[in-house]
Amino acid sequence: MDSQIPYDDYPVVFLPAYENPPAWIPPERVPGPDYNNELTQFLSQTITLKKPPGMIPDSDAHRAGLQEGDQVLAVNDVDFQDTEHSKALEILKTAREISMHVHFFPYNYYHQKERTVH
Amino acid sequence: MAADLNLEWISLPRSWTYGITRGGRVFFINEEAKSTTWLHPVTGEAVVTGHRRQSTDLPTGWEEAYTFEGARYYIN
Repeated sequence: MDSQIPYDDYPVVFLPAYENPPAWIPPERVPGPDYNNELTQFLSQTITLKKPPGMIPDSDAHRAGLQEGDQVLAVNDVDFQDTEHSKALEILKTAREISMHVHFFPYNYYHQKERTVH
Repeated sequence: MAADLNLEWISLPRSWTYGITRGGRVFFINEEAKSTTWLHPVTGEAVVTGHRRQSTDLPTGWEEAYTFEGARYYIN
């Protein structure tokens, strides 16, 4: 009788550990990475990029205010949160003018960066 | 937009304040009890931040995300 479940065939998936909120520190604290209550950088904003021939995309995006960790919510009224990567790329490449709705949320960005460095 | 930061949570009772972690998650600070929590002291719900969310399917305060291996998990 073979009652043993073949666990070896199951894929191994690593879930993120539960994260506690930052520990309390005295109110005289200097605002730092984990005690920042400056909200404005975390609010969503709309960035418009024009793409004339020859423009360097990175510098254009930088001048418009894009930063590492910005989450792209929508582009030209297309919801990017449920769009496949290939379609998202196609929209960004073919659109002459890009109206991009972004939200600074570097959470996953930092995690991914940590993984890449290893 | 589901991921827009809804600022209703910013009104807080006395002795409470808020902070934002490096990764952009909002947490609440009780200066009297000298403690912190993810949950809003009045609503008891976490602030929805930027993880991907299916607002019609999930209970309030829950968010859906994916590991880099592709596994779906939920954040409360």
